[in-house]
Amino acid sequence: MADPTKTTKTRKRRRESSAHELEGESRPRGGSSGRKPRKRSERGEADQEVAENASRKRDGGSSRRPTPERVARGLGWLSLALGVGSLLGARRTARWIGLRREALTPLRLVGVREIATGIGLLAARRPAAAQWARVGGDVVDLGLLGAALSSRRAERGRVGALTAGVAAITALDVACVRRLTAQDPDARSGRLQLSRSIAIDRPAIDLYAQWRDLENLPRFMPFLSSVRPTTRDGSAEGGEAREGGQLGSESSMPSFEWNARFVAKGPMGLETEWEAEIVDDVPGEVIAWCSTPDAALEHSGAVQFEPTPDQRGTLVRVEIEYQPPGGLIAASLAKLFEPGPAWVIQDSLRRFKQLMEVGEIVTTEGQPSGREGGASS
Amino acid sequence: MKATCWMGKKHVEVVDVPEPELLNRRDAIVRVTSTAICGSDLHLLNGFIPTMQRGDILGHEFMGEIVDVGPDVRNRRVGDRVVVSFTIGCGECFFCRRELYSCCDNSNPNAWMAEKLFGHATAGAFGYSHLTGGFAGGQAEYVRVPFADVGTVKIENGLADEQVLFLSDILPTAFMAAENCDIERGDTVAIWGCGPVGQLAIRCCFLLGAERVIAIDRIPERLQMASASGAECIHFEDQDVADQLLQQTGGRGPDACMDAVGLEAHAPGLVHSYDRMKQALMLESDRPYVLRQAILACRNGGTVSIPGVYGGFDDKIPMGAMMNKGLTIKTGQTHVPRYFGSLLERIERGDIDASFVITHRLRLDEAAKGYEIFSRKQDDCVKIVMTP
Repeated sequence: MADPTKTTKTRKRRRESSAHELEGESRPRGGSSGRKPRKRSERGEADQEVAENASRKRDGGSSRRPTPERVARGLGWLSLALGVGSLLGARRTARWIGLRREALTPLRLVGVREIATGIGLLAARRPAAAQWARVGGDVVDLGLLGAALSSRRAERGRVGALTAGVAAITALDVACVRRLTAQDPDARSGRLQLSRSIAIDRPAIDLYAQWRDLENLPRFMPFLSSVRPTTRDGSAEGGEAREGGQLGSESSMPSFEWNARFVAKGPMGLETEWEAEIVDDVPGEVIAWCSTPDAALEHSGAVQFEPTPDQRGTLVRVEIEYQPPGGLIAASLAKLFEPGPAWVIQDSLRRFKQLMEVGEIVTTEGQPSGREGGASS
Repeated sequence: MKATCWMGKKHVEVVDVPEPELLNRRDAIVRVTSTAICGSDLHLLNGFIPTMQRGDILGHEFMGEIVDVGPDVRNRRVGDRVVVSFTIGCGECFFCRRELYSCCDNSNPNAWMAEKLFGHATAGAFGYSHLTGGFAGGQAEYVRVPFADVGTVKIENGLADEQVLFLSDILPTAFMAAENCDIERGDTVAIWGCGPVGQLAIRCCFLLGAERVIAIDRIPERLQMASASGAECIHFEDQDVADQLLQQTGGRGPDACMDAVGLEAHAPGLVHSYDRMKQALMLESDRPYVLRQAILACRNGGTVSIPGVYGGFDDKIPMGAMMNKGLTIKTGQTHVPRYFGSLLERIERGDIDASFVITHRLRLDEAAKGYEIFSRKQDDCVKIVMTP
């Protein structure tokens, strides 16, 4: 899973090496970059790199120019200070620029907004989204000041001075946000990555078999209405499994399709459909998939099955990469709401665990309660 | 059917609700013959446990006769007389396999909620808020019991309801709490709280080899009951508990301290006001007065056993005392099914008869009155059992 603290060079290297590995395979690759999920040895290297990057960040501030995170935190404190000052000093400022009545409410609202972005910048681990909010706020401020300049009652000189100040801060904000997004490869590409895992007390091969039979997925992924295996050209024929891949050795393994049509329930009863194909399939170890190029939501993902350290269970890890609509800015903002899709994956994994360990998903839907206006006795 | 429902803070009502149905394949439907009100139900009544919804059916101590079973229930049949564990365990997960049933991974449909509060979700339970899954509880005429082959024990020996009902919760709780004291022959155990769990714990400690048990409370009738079980008593409003414990143990402190009170502790004086005020301002979820005392009183290298229920994040816990004195802390929601076999045997042998804690017998439709009496400790109330 890509970590924003890694340098872009590392990620590019890994992508290239996966591409090389895959060149030898007979399976054609569809859709997006379709990265191979990292093996345990690769993750060890990755951990070392995380440590190196962390120490570089820590030492970097003293000799070279401050890191964008430091600048962002500084801007966070500045935001808080400006916000409090704007709220408390609204009346005085309004009088100073000569717009005693009109400027009062906007100044106060600006104060509240500044405090909110300040908290966002100081509290978030990744300040990119809050920094974008600062830039947005600066644009609004410049707009307000422009409107103030056009008012006849305004003290033009003083408004001009304020505008100059805001413009300077805007330049600083834009520079900071550019550096922040430059080092965050997800934000640059506009793609988001999620990873979730769960430990299940069952052998990996059983879990693999359940998951690989794609028609089972709606049993533990409640957002899916149906999954229909299809053949390559999109028609839903019962069909034989394709040759290629490593299914041959497992004679008891039923033959699986490599493509499927997914139907998901969206909000307000709307349905979304897309097609995806399996791009990697190692029984008992990994299933990787990609949406086909014409899919509405382009995404790829993989589920890995690894024995737990005590060898009695399996660690099931799901990694998903997707392109949220709206690109770069949406990706940064979506991170603020990251618990959303990650929660759905975690919930699905929990249901999968129940299904595999216990055979069904425990529910309380349909149980009695005193809510339906029961009569008192 | 009639069921006791939570209608709001300090408001409980018996209303007419639909009868339960089988919802999962390992369910059973039990027709309730006896059900009890628990001290932890009072935390629900007083609004200390979050995620309660108006209309939730309360009650987690109950027993009765199976009237319907799901297709995958292996070892129970219609007509079996059973006591039901308050904690729901699946029997198949990492935790159930290690007999840590109250930590079951698979029995809480609202696992994500509990995860936010505790770091990991724990088992589902009957009638104890949506944090534990929102399962309809047992203060009703019929209850749907998930994983019936794990969470029930069959009663076949003609024992009366009152002798076995408490296998559902308070007897295993008291026994596990006593086990958690790591009692060795000759030990002195101090128990804070002479409610039903405390009373049973006194007897369990003696059963497990304690030499002396010191019981701490402020209600004279409860202290009398404790004394009848062989405990020495301390009235915490009349005496200084810390000082008394030192005097009675020659300055060393009890070998084990048990907090059988939990989050709604009463304390004399300023400390009580401190905790109460913080609770009101939502700065603290519990009142850990007893826990603080137990940690400070325990002898060096001793054990603190905590059956008392706590919910959230607490203040001013003497970590320094805990660390420097090398204390062992043992706690947990009771893993009830673990104790079914051994405790039923002890009851049959006559080692312990838990029915002595029952002071009030009511009908199910008097539940609201029952909660009132129990909550205010009126009328020498210790434990209330209801029959539908």
